[in-house]
Amino acid sequence: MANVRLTNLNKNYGSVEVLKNIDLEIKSGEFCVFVGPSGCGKSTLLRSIAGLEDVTSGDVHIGDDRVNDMRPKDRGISMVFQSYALFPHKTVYENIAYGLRIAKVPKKELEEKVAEAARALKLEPLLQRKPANLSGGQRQRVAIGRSIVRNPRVFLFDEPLSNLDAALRVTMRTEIGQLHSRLDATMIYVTHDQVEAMTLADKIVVLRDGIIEQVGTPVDLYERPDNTFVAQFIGSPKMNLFTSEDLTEKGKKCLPDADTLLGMRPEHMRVSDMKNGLVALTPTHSENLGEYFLAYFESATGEEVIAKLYEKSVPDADGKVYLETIKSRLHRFNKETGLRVA
Amino acid sequence: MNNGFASVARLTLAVFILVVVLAPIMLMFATSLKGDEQQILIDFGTWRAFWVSPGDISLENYRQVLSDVQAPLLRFLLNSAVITASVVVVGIFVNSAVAFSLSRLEFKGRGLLLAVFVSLIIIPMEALAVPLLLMMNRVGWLDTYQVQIVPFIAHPFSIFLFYQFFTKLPRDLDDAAYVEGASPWQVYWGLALPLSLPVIATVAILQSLEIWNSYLWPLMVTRGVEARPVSLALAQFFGTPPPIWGDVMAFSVLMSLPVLLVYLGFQRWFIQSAVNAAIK
Repeated sequence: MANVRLTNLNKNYGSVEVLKNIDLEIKSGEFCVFVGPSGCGKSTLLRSIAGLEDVTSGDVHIGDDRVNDMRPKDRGISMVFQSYALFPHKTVYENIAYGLRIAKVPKKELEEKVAEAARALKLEPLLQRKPANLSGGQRQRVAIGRSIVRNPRVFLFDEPLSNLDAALRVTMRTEIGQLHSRLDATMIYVTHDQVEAMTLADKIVVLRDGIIEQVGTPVDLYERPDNTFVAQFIGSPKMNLFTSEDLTEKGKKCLPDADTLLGMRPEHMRVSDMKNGLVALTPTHSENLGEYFLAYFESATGEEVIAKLYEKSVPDADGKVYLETIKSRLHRFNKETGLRVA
Repeated sequence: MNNGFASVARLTLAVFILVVVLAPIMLMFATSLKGDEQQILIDFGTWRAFWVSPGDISLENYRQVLSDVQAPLLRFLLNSAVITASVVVVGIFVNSAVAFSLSRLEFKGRGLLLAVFVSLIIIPMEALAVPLLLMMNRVGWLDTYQVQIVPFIAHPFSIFLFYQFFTKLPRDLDDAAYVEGASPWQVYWGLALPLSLPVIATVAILQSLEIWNSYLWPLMVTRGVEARPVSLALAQFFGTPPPIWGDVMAFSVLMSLPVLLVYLGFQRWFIQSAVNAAIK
């Protein structure tokens, strides 16, 4: 178990800057999740920590060691890949034991460690099978088994659940969470799935175009996003942003000036009336999801607005639907910079 | 109706091709099992050349061929086996290692090196034979095994086949192995090579055929029986007039059998490799 410190980290591929001035501290035992859209550099950042990519400049520290010039095997890390990366010609047992064999761990100790990992991950009946004869979830468990058996200082996960179906993803997500609680290990996890990020993380790092947009706890990011990108990236459906033109007279009073955007999360919006509504919207269509409706609207400026409503919205006489939210759930951002206005 | 006609036409064509391919092999087997040389000459003008009655089967030709002191067949077979096995086995390791380096390791001039290897595929052996002969003569290797082994270990086409295969192997496998502590050598030896069995089979078959049947080079570099391969011995045997057809065919059968066995041994992998190459 060790902390990870990234200082002024840069990574270029030729003239393309993939990571720009990354500064980040991940505490020992913390579950840190990197999220961001495709191409934001989250996997490159993880691979730079693993030593699978050389950094262009800056430092990577794991524990007290500067590991920039260390090979992956000397960094005390283990990694679970999106594709599982199991060795197809080896049995489950040999896959799990692979790193221990290379490290020339004595046979008895090796057998004990593999047995322990197999027991913990319920892989005991599968030890003699080849990866081709396993289901997706079983393969992922073998990949996790291979990573825990060496007692690394830091666990790295590169989108480990994205190849699984929805139901299995939920199960495996829970298992990874339990694994973290049990091992109390430092884990760094890359995903583009914000539900995984919100449910697993102690700390979320939101990346965009190689830059860290915000670091914080899931609740921080949800309740106090630093900018419009984070505000719209965290939460599903994404946060609605309104300019003053979209707002009613009452809504305009919530803005300090016309250069500010008002943000409302779909799940915090509720149907109101002409007098109390903050926004007046033209309904377009709605999706009935049983428990609630996803109601789609068009704002005065032509933007799509989504609200999660527990009752079907009925337009007023003017054909508009008026929505509101409680004051504490309102977010304000500068229209030009996108930054949060206190 | 059309479908039925097409099926019959296809079947007829397949049978025709099969007959054309099998005819010389049947002629060889049938003739090798006929003990009466006069009967062989009579049969050559008829369909009976492709057939031998069970009652007429004789192993006399094989006995004669195997006991010929002038042309010791077993020695030639041994020579060919040693040469072919050495080239194939060492070649698989050398060529796959080169391909692994080209596809997986980062070093300057890698692209150029690959281009050179690929372009070497088109240079025929005949063009290199004379300068190679001069070099081998200079190092005093004439009439040895190594003169027939060493120059053929590095094989550009095999390198190309391995390279093609390795570039398709997921990088995550290497990365996972490196994270687990493996060295590039362990990744090559423990992962890339075992996973490339279909290519190994293809290379083994293609190279063994090439070496087993090679004629020009052995003719240039061998004189006595010590290192002479069976392909050359057959030509020598056949070239001594008048040809005794029964013996020639028995010799041919014995020469063909080892290659056939190698093919049958690797057939499953060979076909898998060919199919993979076709569908990817």
